[in-house]
Amino acid sequence: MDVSPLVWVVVAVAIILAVLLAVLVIQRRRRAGGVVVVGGAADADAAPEHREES
Amino acid sequence: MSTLLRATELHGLVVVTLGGDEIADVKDVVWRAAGGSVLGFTLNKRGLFGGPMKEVLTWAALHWVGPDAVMVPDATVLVHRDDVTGAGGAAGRGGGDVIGDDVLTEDGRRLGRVVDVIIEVEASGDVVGYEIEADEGLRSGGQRVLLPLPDTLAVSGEKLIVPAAAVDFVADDLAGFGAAVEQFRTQLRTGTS
Repeated sequence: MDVSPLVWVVVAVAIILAVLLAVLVIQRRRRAGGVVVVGGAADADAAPEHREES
Repeated sequence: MSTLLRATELHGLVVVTLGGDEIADVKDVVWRAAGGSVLGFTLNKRGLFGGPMKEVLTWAALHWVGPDAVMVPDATVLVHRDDVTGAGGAAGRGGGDVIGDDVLTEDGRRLGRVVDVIIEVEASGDVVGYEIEADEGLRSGGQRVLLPLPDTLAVSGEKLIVPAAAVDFVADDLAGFGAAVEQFRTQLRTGTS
């Protein structure tokens, strides 16, 4: 069965757009920021005086 | 004079040297579980396709945090991330994002879910409160309110625990929140001494 060249073009464009969209989504997630807390209760015991000075 | 701002307002801010060079974008705001002081920022490379950088910006190295940019003296102030988060991150809850965490009082009452963290910008950066999506009982469900934190804050585990008295000092906006934080902390100090 012959497939019209136009179909191949549409399929190729769709694949390219899907890849671009995936890259953009991944990149957006990589760049997304948070409010990150580091350290734990062990640190709290070690340096409780840090904030009391303020 | 100190300024209060939401931590999420810093996401994506460009880091600019006093020489005018744009060297990075702010990614994460990193704060220390013990004491609640802001350690600094992790960074993204500039541009849409720029990924996370290995270097970070410490609070001590800042020139100033403005509404549109984070100012630094020059690009040499960036340091490797292990120099900032290595020791602290290895202990307990390392690298946890508090956005979305539940807030409980010391007497076991759930107040809501964290949607932002309030930072006091002055010589040092201090975490002074949470913005939470309130549960029914504190305010009408889903309303955002500001909850003050003690100056001897310690964070660990999956839940964020605050003193029960914090409920009495809840504010609706940043305008009066600084005074609420001060009153709350004064009450804690006088009540425990």
